[in-house]
Amino acid sequence: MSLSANGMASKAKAMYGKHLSKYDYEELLKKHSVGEVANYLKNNTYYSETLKDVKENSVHRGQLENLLRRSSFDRRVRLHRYADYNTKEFYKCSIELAEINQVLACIRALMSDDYTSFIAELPLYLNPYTSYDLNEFLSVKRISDLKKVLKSTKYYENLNPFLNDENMDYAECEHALMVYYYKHMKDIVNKKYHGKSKKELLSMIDEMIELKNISKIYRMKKYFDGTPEEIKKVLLECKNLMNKERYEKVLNANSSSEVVKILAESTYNIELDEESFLHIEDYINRIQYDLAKKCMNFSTNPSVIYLAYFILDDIELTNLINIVEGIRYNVSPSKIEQLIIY
Amino acid sequence: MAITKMRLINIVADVDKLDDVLTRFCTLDMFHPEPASKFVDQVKGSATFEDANPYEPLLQRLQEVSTDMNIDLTHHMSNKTDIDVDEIEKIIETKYNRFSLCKQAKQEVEQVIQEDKDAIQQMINLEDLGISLDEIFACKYLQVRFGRLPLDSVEKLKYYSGKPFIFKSFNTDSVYSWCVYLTTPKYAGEIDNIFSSLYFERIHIPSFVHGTPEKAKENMMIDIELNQQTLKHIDDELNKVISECRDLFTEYYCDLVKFNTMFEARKYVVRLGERFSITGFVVENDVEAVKKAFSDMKNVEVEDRPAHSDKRLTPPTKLKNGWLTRPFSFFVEMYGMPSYDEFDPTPLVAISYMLLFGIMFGDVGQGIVLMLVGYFFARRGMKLGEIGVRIGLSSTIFGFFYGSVFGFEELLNPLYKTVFHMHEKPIDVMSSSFTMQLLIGTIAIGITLIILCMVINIINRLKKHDYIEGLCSQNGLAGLVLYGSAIFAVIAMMVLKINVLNPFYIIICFVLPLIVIFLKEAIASKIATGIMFPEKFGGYFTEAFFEVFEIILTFLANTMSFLRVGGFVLSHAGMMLVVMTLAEMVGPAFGWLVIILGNIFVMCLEGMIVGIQVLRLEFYEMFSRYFEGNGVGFKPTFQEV
Repeated sequence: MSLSANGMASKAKAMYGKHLSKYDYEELLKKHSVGEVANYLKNNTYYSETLKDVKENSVHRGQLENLLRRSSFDRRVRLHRYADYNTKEFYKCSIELAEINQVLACIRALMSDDYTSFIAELPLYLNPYTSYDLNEFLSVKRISDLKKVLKSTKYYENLNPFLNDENMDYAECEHALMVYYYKHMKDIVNKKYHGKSKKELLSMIDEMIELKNISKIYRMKKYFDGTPEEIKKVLLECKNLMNKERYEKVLNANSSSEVVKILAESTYNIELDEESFLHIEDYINRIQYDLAKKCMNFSTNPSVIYLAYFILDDIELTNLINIVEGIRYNVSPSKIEQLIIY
Repeated sequence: MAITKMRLINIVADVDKLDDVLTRFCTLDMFHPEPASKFVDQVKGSATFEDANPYEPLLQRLQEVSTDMNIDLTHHMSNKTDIDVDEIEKIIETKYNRFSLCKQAKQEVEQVIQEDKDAIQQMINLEDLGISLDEIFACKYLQVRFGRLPLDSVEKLKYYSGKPFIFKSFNTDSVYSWCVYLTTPKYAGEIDNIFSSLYFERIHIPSFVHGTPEKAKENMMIDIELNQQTLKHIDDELNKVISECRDLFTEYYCDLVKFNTMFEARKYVVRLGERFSITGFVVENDVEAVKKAFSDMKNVEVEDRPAHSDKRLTPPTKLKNGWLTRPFSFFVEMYGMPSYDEFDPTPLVAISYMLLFGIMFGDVGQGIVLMLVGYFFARRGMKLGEIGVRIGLSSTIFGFFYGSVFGFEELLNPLYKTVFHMHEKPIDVMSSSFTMQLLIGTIAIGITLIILCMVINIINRLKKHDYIEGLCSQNGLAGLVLYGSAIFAVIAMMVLKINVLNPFYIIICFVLPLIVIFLKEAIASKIATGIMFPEKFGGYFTEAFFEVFEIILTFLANTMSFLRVGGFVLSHAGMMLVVMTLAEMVGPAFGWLVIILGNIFVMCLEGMIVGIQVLRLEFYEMFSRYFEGNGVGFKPTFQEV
């Protein structure tokens, strides 16, 4: 491992040290407008540089969210500078994820006929890093246009069978891209890493996938009465960290309540109150937050620390977006607070 | 140099005297009170005072308001005997409302000024067009919008290339494009919507602005100036409000702190029917002062008893040390507070720390610098600074023995010749013949300290009547005999050339103590419950056997650990040798710079490492043998009120 890779670990930890604290979240929850939130972030947190040109009195919710997303992306890219030559490909997976998210956002926009919102939020600042030109989305009007945009990209092969102008299933598109993404990430880890590093990274990736799978299982049971065969089709492949027998029990559970009961006894100790405001994703994010924080505090592997930072930064971004949207749409602070993870 | 003697004080009075007693009680800065919860569960008929505190919410509100108004609340004693909480709250809210209105007005005016400045920016962009604004806004078939658009969004306008609008960018900064777009009234709604979705920030040109952009600019500058004057008036009003409130809020703050403290003090009060009592500890010398504080109050009794008279309470510890050793209580308290009956390790820590640090960091010049730096920081209230002065002194003394002054090994030779009639310095660290003596010497110091710690532990334990630990543990008499005998045997064989390892010696000095240590838990169990091996002997044997094995290794490891003292002596001398060699290589022109920087580097690096290593020896090799540190610190609750 090169010295610069160790530098990444230090830099990631230093950057994590500047993350918002409980006090910052408490102060943000007291604000009454998007402008006040922008003002607080500008004057009291490390977002001051990102928001220095923002006029608090007239800043739009969407614009503030875009600036926060851009700030998050810039921070992650800054860490790539420290990457080892051999393992640079692994860090570029975060760019891949951003590309995939844009493709999926485009598909959702086309299916819902709300392309203007997609255009407004299109992060053109990603362009210097992406493998395709995001500006091409500006000329997409239908699915067939999207196919043309993606034809020369690595996503085309996986996605093409599911891209139809009529009767397209979004879930299948998402599944195809996420399968590609995680498989690609794992292939890189298997090729470029060895020994304990490899084991740690694969374990962390499998944990991320397993948590996503748990969320899917719960949703399929709760909202679609999914059978085990239907559920298995939408799950991502991973090495189960949960006991195999328990996993089968979860798949074969008769209801979402039974799923929660079984998961309460698992490694993840999920105790979701089905009557509460929290969605399963919020709960899963909390578990992911705790796992990532543990890695950030105790791991010495730079790639694991990077992945942990990625998760923690993403959660902070989600927290801020929840606060901004909650305040904008007059949700009570107590309800917003339930969504905040720290 | 010991633990200050304490007395247990009980203040008893009638319930109707509670407020008067609490008022007096809160002025005592030498009283360590015990919470009422320690007594209430155990005394039938006793209770605590659990009313809601009316002062705390108001105090918090006052602090919030003062922070918002930028008023620093300074504390001094309040003489009031009663306050009207409702009246105070009303006044605070009235003043704050007035302040808030001014602040809001200020924000509005600042916003108007900012909007004018943005508008001026647009006027600068339009200056070269030579068109009158009146003509622009009078257009019947065109709607004009000035503003700024994020640069990202400018790119996205390509998606709307088929829509009926014209976009013109005047100039850009790092984030925005200052621009204008034109459309027809028919499509204004749709186009405004598109630009709004792209986060276009419209800049409204004020209605009073007419004429060309230059004229408009002038008008807006006048408007800005007028608004700034208004702003000044508002600021003056704000300052007036703040200065009116400053003294008033400070007075309220002092009153509320006093009454809040008095109310909070109720948690130390035990109600016993129509009477109440407050129990706590006071330093023996301050007992009379406490009695005097209540002497003028009728029917208030102050009972004075020995510290241990109430078995429910643990007397707190206040360390009492002399000038030389006092700062080292910082290290002791870092590990733990000695309990009231325990031996105060501060003097031992002071002497051993200074000795070991001096040995490892011996240099006259560096020692003096350390003293000066320590004094500088000590003046600023840093405890480490005070420690620095003392260990610097020790370094200086040992520096005289090593003959080293900032790494110059020959500088003190004339002193030794003339004053002490010696040919050379007493100790030449870098001499190969000295190395073995150094290492043996440091081991000898280590052995002495370890034995001393064990003796202290034995005395401590016997004082507490903990005979099992005092006699049978690895740090008790058995361990002392084992360790001492092993050391004696080694010294006898290697120095005196006498082999003491006869069967009698081995049995009495090694086997017997090991058996006692092995059976320590069993003996304790037999005394406590009558059963020697409550779990089966097999399990006990396995566990105890490995424990004894570990104890023997620990003795060896702890002794060898002191070799680091010798190691650091050599490393310090070695590093200074490197500095001197580098200085020679660089030459006389810059050699002095190398010497200065080298000394600074060695002082910082070596000083820090040596300090940490000595602390490690103190905590791990010494404290673990005799110091429990389970005491409670003496904290007079109202010291800062």
